[in-house]
Amino acid sequence: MVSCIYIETAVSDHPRAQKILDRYRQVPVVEIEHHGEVFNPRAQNFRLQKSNPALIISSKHKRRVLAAPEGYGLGVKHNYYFSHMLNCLYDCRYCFLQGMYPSAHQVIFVNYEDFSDSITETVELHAPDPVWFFSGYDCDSLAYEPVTRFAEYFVPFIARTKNAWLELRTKSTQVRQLLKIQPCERVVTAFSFTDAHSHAKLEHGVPSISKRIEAMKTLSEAGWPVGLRFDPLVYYDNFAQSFAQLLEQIFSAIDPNRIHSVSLGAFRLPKDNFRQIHRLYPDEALFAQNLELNNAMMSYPLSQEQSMIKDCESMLMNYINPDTYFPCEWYE
Amino acid sequence: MLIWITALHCEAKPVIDFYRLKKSPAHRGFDLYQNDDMCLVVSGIGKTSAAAATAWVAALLPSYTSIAWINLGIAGAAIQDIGSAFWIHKITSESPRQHYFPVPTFTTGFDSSACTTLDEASNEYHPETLFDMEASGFFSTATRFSSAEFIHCLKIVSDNQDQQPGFDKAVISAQINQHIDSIDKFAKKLEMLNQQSINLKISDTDWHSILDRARFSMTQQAQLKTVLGFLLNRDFDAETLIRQVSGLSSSRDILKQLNQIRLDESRNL
Repeated sequence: MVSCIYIETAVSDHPRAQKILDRYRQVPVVEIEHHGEVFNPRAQNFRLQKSNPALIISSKHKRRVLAAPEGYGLGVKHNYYFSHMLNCLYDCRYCFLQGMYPSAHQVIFVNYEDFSDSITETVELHAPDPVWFFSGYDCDSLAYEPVTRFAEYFVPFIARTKNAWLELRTKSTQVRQLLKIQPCERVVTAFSFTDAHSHAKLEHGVPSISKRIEAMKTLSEAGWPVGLRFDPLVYYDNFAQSFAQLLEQIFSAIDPNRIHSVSLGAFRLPKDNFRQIHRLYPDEALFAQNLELNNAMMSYPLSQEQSMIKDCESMLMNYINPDTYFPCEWYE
Repeated sequence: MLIWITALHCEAKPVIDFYRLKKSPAHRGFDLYQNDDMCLVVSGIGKTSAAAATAWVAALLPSYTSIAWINLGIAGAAIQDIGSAFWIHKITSESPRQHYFPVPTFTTGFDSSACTTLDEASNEYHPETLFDMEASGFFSTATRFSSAEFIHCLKIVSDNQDQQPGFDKAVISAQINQHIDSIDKFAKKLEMLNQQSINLKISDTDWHSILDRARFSMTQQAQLKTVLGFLLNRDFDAETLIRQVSGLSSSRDILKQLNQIRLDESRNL
């Protein structure tokens, strides 16, 4: 439930903003000049806000499309990300977004046309090479689809933009909009999964594993490329057994030959994000585990991490084509 | 701890009576009323007075790990009915021009409104905002001591563009008093929220019960805080932990033992 809507005066008449306001007629609306007035002040408590966040309707003026971090990508040279939202509907304790911003309010940038102009410019810069755009970096790509209509706008846009590829990264089951339109081979919906125990302990508000597999299956059978993202792997005594069960559950429903790409990475957080999140959640077991600083990242000790990855990779290779596998390599 | 800031005694009276607050004879500077769980400061009129009173009372209470705040008072309005009550969602300081946004983390039970803080009383009204003389000074100062989720303003309309009944203390007290049950419900929700935050912090008693067992360096104290921050928020209490380290006299051994308990506890999430 949205507690309040803040809207920038400059976008208050924007048709996309009006549609959002129509959905929340009972919610107080507060006009603001810039989303930073509400989103950026330091005296805010992310953890408290997360239980009842507000919505901020804004527009993004600069830096709409950014180069993806090193090692982020699916084997091609040009990788970018863009965010039509800041913050996520879900509350996953391992996610770097927990400590990224001072506020847990959800910002929606409604000037999609400006984003698509920036994407076009970026594609032209690298023509004729393929260029990947990742949309699920600062938010879940599809979780808020009924409100944002993000896929409704961007998927057809990517479909008609030669050389542009889009990854929709999601933990949601919101595939209804995609099922209404013609599948596009250059739009990959990548579903993130953790095993059942990690899901129960760490992914608050996220739909069940079985419901997400069902959504993935429906999408795949409709002809859409789908991906799997096993990131992060979280350590506990039976994690390998539980991961094996997760693979069994997924591949008993999904044809491995229809999987576009698979990636896998162990739990890690940039040092500063870790410090911030740990301050917010001192009682969280994940942060009390045996972690250490490597390459400015807090992670499991490298030997432990490599052993976790190796175990999971070998299980994964029983199901998938190795050519579709892209490990998350963050250390040298 | 919940702190009320009002500009006038007549605004304070309904709260003082409802919670049976007693005037503190020990404090000078501002009139302070208190019981075990809350206190109220009468700041005087104006944003500078409100800011000064807010800072003054926060400085009086350094041992409280988390403070919640309510600025309660009267406001002018263009069209809203006299006697109607509002939770303030946006505060505008007229000079310098600045906006502040109290954070809604629970259902307030009040309609919400913007409020503009003026430097001087005025008979000009604007339909989109209430007018007061304290909120911006109060809010901007309180955010130096507490997170915005704990800082709120409740305003009762005392005059509007059709009616300016003049300044009558008894009438003002009555206008506020008619909302005292809703104000109390709001205060209770705010205190609950504050308690959630307090529960995550280590109490002074618990902290010293471990710290005083050995000589901890500053670095070790930071490590101890992290370990206790986890264990005391799980199923452990200070007594149990003291038993676990009872035979140990060096800070290094105590930390090692507590870290092992922490690792065991977190192993399976």
